[in-house]
Amino acid sequence: MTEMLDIAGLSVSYGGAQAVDNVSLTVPGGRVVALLGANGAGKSSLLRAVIGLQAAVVDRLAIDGRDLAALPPERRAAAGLGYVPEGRRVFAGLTVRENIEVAIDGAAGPRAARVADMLALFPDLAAKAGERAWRLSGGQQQMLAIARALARRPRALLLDEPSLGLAPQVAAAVFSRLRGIADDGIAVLLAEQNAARALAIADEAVVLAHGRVALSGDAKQMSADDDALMALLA
Amino acid sequence: MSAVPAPFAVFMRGPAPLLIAALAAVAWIAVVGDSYALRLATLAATQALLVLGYQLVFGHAGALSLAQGALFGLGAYVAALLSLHAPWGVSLTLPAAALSAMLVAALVGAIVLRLETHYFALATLAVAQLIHLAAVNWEMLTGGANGLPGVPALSLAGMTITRGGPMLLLAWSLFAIAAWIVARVMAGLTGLALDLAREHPPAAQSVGIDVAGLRFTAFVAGAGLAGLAGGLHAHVVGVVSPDVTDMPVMVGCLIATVIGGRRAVIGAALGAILLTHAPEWFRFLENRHLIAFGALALAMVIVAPDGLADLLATVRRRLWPLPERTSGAVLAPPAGVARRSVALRVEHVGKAFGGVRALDDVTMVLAPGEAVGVIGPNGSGKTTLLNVITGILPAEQGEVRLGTESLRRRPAFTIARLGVARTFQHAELSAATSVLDAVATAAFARSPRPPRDVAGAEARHWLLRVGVADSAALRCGALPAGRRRLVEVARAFMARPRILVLDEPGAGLSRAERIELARRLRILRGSGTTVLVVDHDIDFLAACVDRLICLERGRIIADGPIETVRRDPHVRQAYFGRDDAAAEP
Repeated sequence: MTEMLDIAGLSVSYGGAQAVDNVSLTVPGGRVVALLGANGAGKSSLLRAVIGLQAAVVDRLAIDGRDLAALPPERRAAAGLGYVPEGRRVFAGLTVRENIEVAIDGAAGPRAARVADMLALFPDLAAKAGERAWRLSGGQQQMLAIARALARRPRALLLDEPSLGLAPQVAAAVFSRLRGIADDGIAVLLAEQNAARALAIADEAVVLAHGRVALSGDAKQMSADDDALMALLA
Repeated sequence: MSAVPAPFAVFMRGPAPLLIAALAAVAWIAVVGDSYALRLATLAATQALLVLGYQLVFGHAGALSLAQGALFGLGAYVAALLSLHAPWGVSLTLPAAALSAMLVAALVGAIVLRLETHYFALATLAVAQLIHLAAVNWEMLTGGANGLPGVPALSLAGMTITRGGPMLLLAWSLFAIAAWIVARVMAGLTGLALDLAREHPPAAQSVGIDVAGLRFTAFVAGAGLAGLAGGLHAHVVGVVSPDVTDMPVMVGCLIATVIGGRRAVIGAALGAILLTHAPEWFRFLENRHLIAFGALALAMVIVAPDGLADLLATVRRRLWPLPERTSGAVLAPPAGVARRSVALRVEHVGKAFGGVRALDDVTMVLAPGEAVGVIGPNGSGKTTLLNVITGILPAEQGEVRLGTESLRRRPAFTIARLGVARTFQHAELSAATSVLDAVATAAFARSPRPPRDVAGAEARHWLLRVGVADSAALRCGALPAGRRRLVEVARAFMARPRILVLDEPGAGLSRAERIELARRLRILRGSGTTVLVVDHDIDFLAACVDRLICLERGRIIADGPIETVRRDPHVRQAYFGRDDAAAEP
């Protein structure tokens, strides 16, 4: 098992406040690591720092052994890092199909196949493939943001609250798909408020509190050990 | 950081040092300056008035008008014509110059202010060109390309204000008065309302702010200052030619606004002084002096991208730090203000986007004080329903009634003033505004409008009740998504609603935080507020509503007690899918 995504000694501070404080974690290929924590614990800041949208101090940040720390976000993405931002950042003026296509490099043939693959994952989107993204409902835009990240076939995938605004049926489909892509060998780092749902598909869990790792371990044991976890998430 | 005595820091951070510096500069020029220096410093004041006006239009209202320069020229012509031809002459030229520019702006604004950004810019450019063409071609009135020479000095109440020292003092005094008025207005809730209206118009309307009216007022007031500046310019220079209506005036105004700062009044003075004086510093370069000025302007924008005023504020904050205010007065709203509970009726409402029926014959009634939850698959029309109720989208069929009042064809801000407050799926808060100010903004539409500190004290009350008081001093942009939604809930309560409409308030919150929010919502609506909540978390809804409605493809497929809807086979199939775990208690 390769250590696909490797983060060591990562810190983020806003002004004087330490949002992420010396966090280290690794996500091996084929594994889902759930990143849990109360609101403001530092989950989003950590993910934004990993993809490079947030300035951070870091000892080591590597994907598949390749150092990312000095690269700008687009080069990190090109190196195989996928990111689903919190808050539905889709290209409003492009159609659903175009939103997915822009994320894929390469020849038109394989591209069409991959778009079709994504539309099969989200039947709601398939029905609206030709619509401009601003016409989608909030939940549909969230699906599109996930589809766009998946379409790149990243080697490591960061997701910031993917279940936000999704109906239970769709959230369940998305999470089972996440399990599926991890099983294909991709490293998945999943920040999520819905702890039960995230733990159900995760192999490991890391709980942040005030920017530090407060608890980490096997996801299955953690779901059983509810009290300690709930205290940290409150 | 060394310990600075607090009173000294307070003094240095206040307006006094700036005023002393400004007075010293004016006095120094008046005493030792030659006539050219006096004239230049006086022209800087007219430029500062022009920029102050443009800050209202561009900085505060966010409208990229390209007519500000032409309105300045209009004021110059009006002042020149009156002082040359009208018998009652030179005392009234300045008010007339300001009023004529306001009149033209009101006519133009009524038509073009509803246009989107770049179309608005083009429309105002066309107006500017019309004014310029009139100045060049209407020779009988304007003297054509030769202009109007021999504009006399200004006289006030029979006293002539000669060019030189007296004119310098008058020009900067006028700027000081105008800047003081603008700064006072912007320090109140109006400044906050403009910030929200500029950055998040739907959110501004949702707390009763008349966005279009506010933009119009700022546009006309900005034009008044442009006209005043133009009139003053005519008297200072003594001759008016079509140059005063031409594009370079507008470009100069834009440069000075960007270099000085878009919103702080001190920025108008700094930008104007730099624009009028800097080219003089490079005169020794002869033909190349404008290139040098261009390089300087570019350097300024790179060093201080938010303007010199912002740079100055940052330096003063660093040099004389003041302890951050973490707490303050808390004021509960007076007991008498709770408005009577009211019913909300949605009757046969329909709405389509292109060929898709987002809402199809939706009928529902919320009894006074009742709390109802709405669930449904993604894209089933939940947010559209909230947008139709709050007036952000017009319904194509049917009717929404608040009590006996029809909301049909009412603008969103008037619906908000009737007592409908809402939150948004993706929290709409100005990133640079503090949490406390963001909530206080909702008091802007109240009549009478409370002072900002009173509104702030009540805002602190609602932040406490919603459970985010510890974030009061933070910028909204620094908050995690879940907390931003809670700030919106507090802002909605600040609007003292009769109907509270919440779009996924629990999204982004942990389970424990959602349970806490549901508990607090139950307490808060105890006063009789009717509540409509969209959310996907059925446990959250069960904890804060009395009844559940399920939408699918724009139609209501279930409506009733929570358990009944939760067990409805149609709902289970459409909404929960095979994920039965989520449906079980």
